[in-house]
Amino acid sequence: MRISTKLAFAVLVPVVVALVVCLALVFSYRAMEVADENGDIVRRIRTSISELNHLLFSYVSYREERPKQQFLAECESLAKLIAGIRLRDPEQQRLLEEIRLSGQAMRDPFLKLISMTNLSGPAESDELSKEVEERLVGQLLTRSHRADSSASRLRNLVDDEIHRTYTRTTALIFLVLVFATAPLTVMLVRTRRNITTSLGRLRKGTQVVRSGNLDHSITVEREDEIGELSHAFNQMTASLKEVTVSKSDLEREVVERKKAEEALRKAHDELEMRVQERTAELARANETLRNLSSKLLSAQEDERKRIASDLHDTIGSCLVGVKYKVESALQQIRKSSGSATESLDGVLPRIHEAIDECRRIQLDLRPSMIDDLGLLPTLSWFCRTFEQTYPGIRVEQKIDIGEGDIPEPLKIVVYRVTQEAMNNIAKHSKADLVYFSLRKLDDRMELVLQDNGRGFRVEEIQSRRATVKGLGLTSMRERADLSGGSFDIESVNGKGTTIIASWPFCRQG
Amino acid sequence: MKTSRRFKLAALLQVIMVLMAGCSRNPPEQLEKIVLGAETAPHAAPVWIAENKGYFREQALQVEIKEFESGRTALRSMLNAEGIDIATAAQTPVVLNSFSRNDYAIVAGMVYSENDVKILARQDRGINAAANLKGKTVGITSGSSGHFFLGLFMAYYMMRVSDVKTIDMEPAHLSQALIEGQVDAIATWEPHIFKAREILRDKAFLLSSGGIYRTDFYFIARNDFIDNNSAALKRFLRAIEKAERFILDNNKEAMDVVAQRVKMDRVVLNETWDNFKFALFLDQSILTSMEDEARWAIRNRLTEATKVPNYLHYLHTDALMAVKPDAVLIPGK
Repeated sequence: MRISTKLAFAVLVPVVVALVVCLALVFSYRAMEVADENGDIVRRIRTSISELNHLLFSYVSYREERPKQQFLAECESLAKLIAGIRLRDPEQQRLLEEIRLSGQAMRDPFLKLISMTNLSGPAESDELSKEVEERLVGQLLTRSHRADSSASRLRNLVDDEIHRTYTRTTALIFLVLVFATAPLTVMLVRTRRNITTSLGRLRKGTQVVRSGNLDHSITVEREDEIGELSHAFNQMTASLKEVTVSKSDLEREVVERKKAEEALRKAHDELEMRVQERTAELARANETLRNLSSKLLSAQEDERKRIASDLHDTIGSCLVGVKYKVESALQQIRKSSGSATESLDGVLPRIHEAIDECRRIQLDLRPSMIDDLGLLPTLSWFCRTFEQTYPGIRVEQKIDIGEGDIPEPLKIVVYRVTQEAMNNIAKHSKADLVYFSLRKLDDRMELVLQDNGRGFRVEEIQSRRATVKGLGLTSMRERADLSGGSFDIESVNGKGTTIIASWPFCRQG
Repeated sequence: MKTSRRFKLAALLQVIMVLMAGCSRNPPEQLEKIVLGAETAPHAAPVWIAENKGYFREQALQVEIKEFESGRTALRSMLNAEGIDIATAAQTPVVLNSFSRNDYAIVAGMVYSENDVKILARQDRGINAAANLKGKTVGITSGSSGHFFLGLFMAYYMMRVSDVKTIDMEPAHLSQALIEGQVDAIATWEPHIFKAREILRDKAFLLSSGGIYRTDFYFIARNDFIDNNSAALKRFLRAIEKAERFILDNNKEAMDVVAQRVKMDRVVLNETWDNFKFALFLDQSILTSMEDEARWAIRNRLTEATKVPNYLHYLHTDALMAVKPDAVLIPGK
């Protein structure tokens, strides 16, 4: 039987026992109550019979009205008492019937006795009356005593019945308790012993397993919850053993992975360090390259400046001197001979042409105006010259910055970017309007060149090889980058092109 | 439960049962003989039942029952030591013998009846009321309860026994005497009254006694027997007590047994049976009843004695006290 069933049984049995005991008590108390009521009536019957005896003696002794009246009333009272009692025991019924008959048998002789008392006659009659009275009193006493003894016995029987009922109830309760609780107690004791033993075995098993012996198992002898628990314990031990083996493997794997992770981390750190070193090297190289580029541009500018100066100082000056000499010679010749002048007049335009070409090369290489007048007048001059050179393109210029606000190194950069952009517009854009702006913003200087030309696809131009795409965009971007600025170009087919270059002031300072 | 355990339990139970059987089995015992004298009448039903059901044997008694025509003769036989140990008799013969001897005692009351003794008269002799008895011949068994009842009846109706002519005869002859007209009336008990009524039919007239007389029947034994056989006496009463319980619980069967034993027609028994109240008793009413009859006997000069005996000396309460103590209600005894 399962433990839960036993425990349910153990709970149910006391409830049933309690119910049985309660029912037994209820029925027994009812029976005792009835017996008590009967006992009370029987006691009153006996008292009534005793009273009848006393009244009879009182009447026989004094022949007075009061005992006679009471005797007859008591006879009726006795008859009512007897009629009001219900007895089940045959012996008790028999005794009650005896009392009833005795009571009945007392009434007629008593009435006869009364009638005898009322009679008065001759002496002979008195003698007869005396005998009659004697017989009547004798019979009355016999009945009275008989009724009394019957009542006494009846009372004993009723008392015995009460006692028997009480004893029976006690015995019943005792038997119910014994027969219901004894097996229950035995069952509970055995269950407790079994549970305790099994739990002890499980506890020992737990200790054995805890000490590390996972091969330990408990013998399953029972089919109840303890048996199930033992079985579960064995299963748990087996699972624990498997899990422990897996755990060792897992731990080994974890250690290996940790080692790998550590190595990876070290490699990563090393790589990171190397990347940083390389980055630093690249940065340094980049810086060096930038410096070199800057120096290259400076050197280029310086070279241009020197060439322009040389052109001005040497070839230009020479050509000018030649021109003045030729002009002077011509004036002298005109004055002397007219025929030689024609050939010399033909040399002179050639000299002018050489002087102009020399000046143009000089301006291309390095406009001296930047150094002499500053960037802003140079840009204005450039725009005018551009409009003159390309009469189909109008230039709107807006300069919103002071000459002093422009860092010196940036002046030639701004000029060259403007120069390159304007040349590109003139060569490729087919624009008729160019918007030129140089302004000072909060923290930077911004150059904007916008045309309304045909535009182009920036990605396509930038994807060309350097040799193909030419040096225009690249040189502008490089100049801006190398001077610490930024360069951006936006262009859409049919929508014109916008070039924005800006330089932060702080970095320049 | 395992088989071995069941086997052990069964064996243990068997041993216990054998031991219990051994303990309960009475050792072979010699039956003690008692000779009982009783009138062959239904009022001695407890005796017939105990005999029929073997209750005497259960009490290790071998009770030999000698049958008599009346309790008076049974008592006389017992008192005369004619081989009777215990007799059953009504109170009147007990009282009438008490004037001359005191070597016997009532062991227990066996039964009583409020309407056993009656007066049956012949209407054709002009008797249809109590007063008509005056001057008539009445058959009685002298010294019996019938005799006393006649005196009581006459007194009840303001007459004396001497107002009638009494003829003494055995109970069995009374009914025949009435039928044959030897007497005008008879004062006797059942079944003699019933037998006469059955034959006389309309000629018979039962004078109403109004339940004025209670007839007791006692077990009486000589004192020497009582002294020497107290244990047997108790066992005898136990057997009677068991018979009385049987009558109470098995009334019909008891009547069958009694009818067969006393050779009485069942119809006759049915008429009289309910008058008997079977119960062992020894109470104060026995004393008052005997004293009343003693006074009657003295007044009617049935004895030369002039003093009512002390009937406490005629009661032996020990035996019944041992068997049925609550039935003994004698103050001062």
